[in-house]
Amino acid sequence: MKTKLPIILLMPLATISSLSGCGGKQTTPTDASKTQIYVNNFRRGFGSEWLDSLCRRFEEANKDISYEEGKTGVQIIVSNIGSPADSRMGSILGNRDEVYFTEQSYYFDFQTYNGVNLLEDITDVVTEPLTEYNETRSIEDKLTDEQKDFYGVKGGATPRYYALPHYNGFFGFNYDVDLFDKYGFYFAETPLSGTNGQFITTRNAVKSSGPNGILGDWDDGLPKTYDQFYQLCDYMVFKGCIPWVASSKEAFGYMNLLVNSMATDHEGMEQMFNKFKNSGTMTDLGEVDDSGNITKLPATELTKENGYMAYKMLGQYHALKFLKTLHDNPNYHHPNLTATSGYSAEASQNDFLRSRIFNEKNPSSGTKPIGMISEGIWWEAETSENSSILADQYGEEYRRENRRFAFLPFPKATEERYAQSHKNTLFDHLFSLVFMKSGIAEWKKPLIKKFLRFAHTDESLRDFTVKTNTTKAFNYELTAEDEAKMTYYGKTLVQLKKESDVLYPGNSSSIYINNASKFHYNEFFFTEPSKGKTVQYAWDGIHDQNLSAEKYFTGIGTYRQNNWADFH
Amino acid sequence: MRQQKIHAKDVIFYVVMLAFPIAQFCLFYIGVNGRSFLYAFQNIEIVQEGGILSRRVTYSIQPLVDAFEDLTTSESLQMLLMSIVSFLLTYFIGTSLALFFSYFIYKKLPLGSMFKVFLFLPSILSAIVMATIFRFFVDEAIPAMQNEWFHETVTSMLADKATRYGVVIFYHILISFGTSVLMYSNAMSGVSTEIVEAAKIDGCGQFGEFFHIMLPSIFPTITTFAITSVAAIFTNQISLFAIYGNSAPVETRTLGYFLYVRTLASANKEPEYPVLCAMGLIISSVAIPLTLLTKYLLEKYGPSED
Repeated sequence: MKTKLPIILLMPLATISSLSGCGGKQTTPTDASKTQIYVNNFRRGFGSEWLDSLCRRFEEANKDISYEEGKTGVQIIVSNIGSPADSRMGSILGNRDEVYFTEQSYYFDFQTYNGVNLLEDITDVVTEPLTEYNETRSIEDKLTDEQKDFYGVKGGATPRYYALPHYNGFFGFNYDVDLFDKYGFYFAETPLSGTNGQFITTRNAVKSSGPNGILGDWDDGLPKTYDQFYQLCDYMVFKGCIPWVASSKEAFGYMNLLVNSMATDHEGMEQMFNKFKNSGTMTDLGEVDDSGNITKLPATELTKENGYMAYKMLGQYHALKFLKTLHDNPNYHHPNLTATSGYSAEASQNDFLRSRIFNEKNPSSGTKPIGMISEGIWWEAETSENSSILADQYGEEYRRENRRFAFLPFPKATEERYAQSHKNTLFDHLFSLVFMKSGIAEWKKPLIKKFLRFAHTDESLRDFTVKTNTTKAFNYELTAEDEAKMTYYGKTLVQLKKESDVLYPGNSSSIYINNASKFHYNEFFFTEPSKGKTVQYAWDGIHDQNLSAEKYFTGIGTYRQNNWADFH
Repeated sequence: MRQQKIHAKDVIFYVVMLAFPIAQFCLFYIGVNGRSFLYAFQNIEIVQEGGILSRRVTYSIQPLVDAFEDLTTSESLQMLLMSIVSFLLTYFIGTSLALFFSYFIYKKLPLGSMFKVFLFLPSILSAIVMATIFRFFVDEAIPAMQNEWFHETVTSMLADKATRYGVVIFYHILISFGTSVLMYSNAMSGVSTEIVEAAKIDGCGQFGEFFHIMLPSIFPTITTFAITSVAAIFTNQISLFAIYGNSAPVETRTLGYFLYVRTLASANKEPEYPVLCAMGLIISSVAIPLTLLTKYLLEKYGPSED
């Protein structure tokens, strides 16, 4: 009994300390002979391998340089954290971390937190060319004009920068290329007559030119329009596959991301950006009756008084109609999407990864292969561990590096829209952010700034892409050597981004700065389909409330008009 | 001299013991609510000046007007209705069951101690852990069992429109038992055994003892719980956030959930604080008199031990 008591007393303590280790701070011993830089990393889908690589390269490059008396070299200590910096603002100035790589963090919040600017001015870091790394461009040169407008705070002689974007956060359909190849889920350049004749067979193996309209490249045979997408789904069902899987647990947020991504692609860069800065001329507005008949509205100049008009853009209707069609046909989606509320993102990713393996290795299990998953571009990196487990169990051909997945270019709503432009427009959803906090000792600031510049050299940006198979929110080119190290998913994603317009919604308009939460993707699809009834999420409206796309879309305009006064 | 020394020690003890609650009261009540009160009359605009962001503050009752409009939309009134319905369901069902369970434990009936542990368990576990276990059980385990044993594919009760509100209420009642059962059973233990014995001699059975002896005796404890429950009507989110996160089904949402989620979305976005604070002020102005009225009515018309 005497020996048991201390053990019992220590058990909760041991539990607490082991729990705090889960995703908490790593305990790297401090090297007293070197100068330390403390880095805080939001580690979710994109992981920390890229950061480890960045840190080791910076340490190596600075190993013989002294930044403090009696010390030589730099040691970077990383804290990998599971929550974004925005949720821990109160502790930023007080803790040891000096540089932050984070997401879901709104730039302007950090500058006005309790009247204090938590961010250090890094204008010199951003605007001076990276000549010390043999580059002619500055970090600012790697940003789009929209990004410069957002991150460069105005009102003085020149804009001042306090932070930079981090990685891209695109959302859409991701498909299993190996499965598509195996079953021939591609449209043929020359369709044959008869059922499913539009898909490739041994008799007409040449794939159609795909969404980008160029024959002979990576997107050949993929659906160009929504109608083709539905035909593809029908064909997948015919072949015994499940076309689409998605998490039901995350459905509210994720379906908003999906619908917004598709609406953005339909509207294009300029129209969608007008909505976020509440200015410019809207040319694709319309009304839809209950039968789905569209009446186009005249081009409208957005003003402070009529900003709600932007919520009548027809791309939203087409995207909602698309989601409704996928939802209403139970063969098109995995049953867990509609039958449970707790089907997690991880579970849906695993089902997507495993379904083809189970189907091939154990056909009697009755597992149907899944063709596509709606997810963010981080999903493949997020599943690397599970992918390795599957490879260990079922064979090397199932290792992530040996499998082929790709981000599906968005099909267009109509043939007419496809004829107008084949270009994709991608929406960056994640509010990713990199910054150094204010209040760092004067002697140390140059070192931290040096690290930030190093982290944004072309070499570092490329290294991030190679390690994560995703892209940073900057303009940079990969080398053939880089691409050779990447997965098929990463390579095609880079290609897609290169061929697309990328919309970064952040901007410096007063309406955006002062109503930030209303420009979050959770808020995009508020609708008032009937008097007194409000629905916030696309999936809620379509799945739970059984709204038609027409009612949902009309309600978006009504809701925004009725609540426009809430925008400051 | 000796007396003086003891007096000084008493004062130090008194000051040390009071310092923490007073500091807490000043910081978390006066400080937080005072700032919140001030926000309710402010209009905050963030502007770019000289390469930095700064805030322009003006004072008006506009946030109160906006908040009132937001709280009187039909959507908000629906949530208000759900708050009241949820309160009535959870309070009356929860309290009735808690009283019966407490009596069961007090009477030391078979398995009474086990009841105590099981009912208190949800209060020991973290709310998120408990909600995750519950959600997993309802969402995954029950449909899987149904499938395995009865070869039926069923929709999870948390996803099914017809059942989900009932499941949420069930869960909320379940987790509320811990504190109430502990308090009620403790209060019952304090009832004089002489009174109970005398009642038995007079031919009073178990139900008579419960309704005529126990309930009046522990009525002050019941009153306390009733008052705190009424005070929380408009802020109670019936565990919706723990179960569904920020995507609870529309028809289940209460005003408390709405405020919580909206505050979360506006976190750190100062221009959006004034309307939220004004909402808090309006809700408090309804909740405070309602709570005081409840207290008055319960004290005036509630049963007495006499």
